[in-house]
Amino acid sequence: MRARRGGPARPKLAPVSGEEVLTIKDLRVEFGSGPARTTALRGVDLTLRAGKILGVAGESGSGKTTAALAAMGLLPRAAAVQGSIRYRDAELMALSERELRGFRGSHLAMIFQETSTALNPVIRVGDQLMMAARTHASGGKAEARERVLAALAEVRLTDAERVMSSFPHELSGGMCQRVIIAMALSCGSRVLFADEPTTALDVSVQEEILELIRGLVGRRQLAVLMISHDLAVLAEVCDELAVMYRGEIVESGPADAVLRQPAHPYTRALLDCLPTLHTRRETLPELSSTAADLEAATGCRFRYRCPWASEVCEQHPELEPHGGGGHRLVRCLRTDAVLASDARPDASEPAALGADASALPGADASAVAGDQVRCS
Amino acid sequence: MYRIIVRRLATSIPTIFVSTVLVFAMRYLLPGGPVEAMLGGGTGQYTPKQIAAIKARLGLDDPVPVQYWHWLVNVLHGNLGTSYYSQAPVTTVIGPRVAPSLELIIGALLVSTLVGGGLGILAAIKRNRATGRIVQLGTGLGLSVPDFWLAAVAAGLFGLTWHILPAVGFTPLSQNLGQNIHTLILPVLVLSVVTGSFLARHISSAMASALDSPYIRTAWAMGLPPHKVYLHCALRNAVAPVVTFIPLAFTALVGGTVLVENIFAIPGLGTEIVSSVSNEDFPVIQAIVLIVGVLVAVLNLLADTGLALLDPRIRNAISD
Repeated sequence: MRARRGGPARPKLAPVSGEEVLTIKDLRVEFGSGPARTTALRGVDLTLRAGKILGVAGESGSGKTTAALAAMGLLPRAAAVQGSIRYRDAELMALSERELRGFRGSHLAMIFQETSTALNPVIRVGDQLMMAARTHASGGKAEARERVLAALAEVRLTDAERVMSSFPHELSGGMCQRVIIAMALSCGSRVLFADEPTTALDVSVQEEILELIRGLVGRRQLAVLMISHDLAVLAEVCDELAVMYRGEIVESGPADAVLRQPAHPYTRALLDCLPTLHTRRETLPELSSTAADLEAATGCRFRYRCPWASEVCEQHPELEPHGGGGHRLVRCLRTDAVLASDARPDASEPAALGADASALPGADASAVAGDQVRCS
Repeated sequence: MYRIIVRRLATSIPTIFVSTVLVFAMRYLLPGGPVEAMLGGGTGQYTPKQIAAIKARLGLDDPVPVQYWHWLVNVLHGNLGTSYYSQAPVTTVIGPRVAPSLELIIGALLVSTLVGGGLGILAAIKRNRATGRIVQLGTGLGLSVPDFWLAAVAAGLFGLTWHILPAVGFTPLSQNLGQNIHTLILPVLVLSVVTGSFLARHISSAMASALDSPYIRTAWAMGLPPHKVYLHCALRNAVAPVVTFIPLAFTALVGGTVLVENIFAIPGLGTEIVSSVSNEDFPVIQAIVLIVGVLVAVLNLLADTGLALLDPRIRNAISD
């Protein structure tokens, strides 16, 4: 009973496919204060639709996870969050922690990269599932148990009795991830933030989990935000794709269109990092990162690493529609040049930068020319 | 679970055996040996014949293992020997002194576990805020304040200046429960300060690391209410230090009672051990050390079993 007090009062009508379930607008997050202040998100817009998967790609520190945690209200107290996060007809930013808790689990849930440590090591899996299931419903134990069993069946954990009586360390990583997904389902979540849900799993299990999520999205009209640094994973399951770089979205649009014809140099660079069956390479290209790069407080933040960078890039580009078709947005002033070139200009030739190289303050040829492995 | 208890028992029994050997050896380790101790004033004034007679009476002519065996059999029959000082059986000397000391120790264990544990949990939950820092500061102080000073100040302030609680003295439990508790409040509080602070420190660091772990993030992400997250999810991972702490605290408290009983004039084992040591009354010292040793071994057994009950991973590691 107590759990319901903070919860939303409106009935939980199932969303229709394509309905905008969660809308994030101009989300800004800063950590710390004074000189130690760092900006994690600089105005991010994301829209999650029922029955669709939105992929968010980007390297570590690009703000992918911060965005999801902000939407869940799970950022540490030291974080200053601004902007708007709407879940259906509720503005989550206006809610107290207590009210927000009524949305967590029952409307919004989040699963993480850690699989074996994401469940409490000293509590039986069944008890953890029951605890979550009973938090969000007034029904009795038997009813909660039914929901848990149904959810376990839905994530295709067949031997539910055995799973429920196990401790997390007795289950495999893939099974733990299924249990957590089942936990979200048994609570009735409509939105699922999946933060690198398959990164810790081996490839065959990864495939199963992705397929499972895909299936749930179709059946349950879940709205999923799938975070990954791995474009191959996102390419497989996402409807829409947003690429983030240093706290900003640099490119977004329908996943296949973005991946087929990336309009932002960073998206291209990420794609170049994917090993394919068709190209044999001794080393994968590196997206180098240098100190100079972090100083880019103004202008395009990718310009020190960008082979297309020119003088115009000292101005900060807006996220704007471009001619690539669909609802595609890109944050790049040189998109035309990027789209015009079939391949990424050979980064090992500083000449590709042309006369512009000297125009970049502090630009170091090595910052753009580094060519070793390291993509994530 | 049964196997764990059996295994722990198998290690506790040798521990208890070794501790009895050490206790028995005490009488030979101390200068002069048992005869001199019994005669008190030194052997000089006695003829060798008299000394030989005493040795024979005490069974000191037998080989040492035989002496140990006789002693052990007596102990197991509840016969802890005769006090050299009062010539009364040791059991009647220390019997009435066990209850006050146990009351003190159990009281202090309860207070330090409940208050110290509670403060530790609070410090972990509020670890980045003023409350947490204040608790940390307080427990730091509690750890560094010498207990003899604290006992003296407490007795002075509460007993002599404010007349809230008796400064010294003790009413046995059998006489009057209210009076008994009244006389125990100050000594128990003084004893609890160090152990409670120690426990608070340990539980707060264990709890803080539990609160930072992924399973707690999952618990929040599923919308569990704070009391469930803190007390059900996190605390269960942080109680291990409390469990391992209890035997340790017990040993520390036995030491603490010696001081506190003397300051507050409580007729317990702590005051008895001091007078026995100064009277070189070995049978009494032996008996007290034996009781404490066995209790520590038993508490360790209980703690290990408790840990295995609380944490399935430990359970598995032991039974595999």
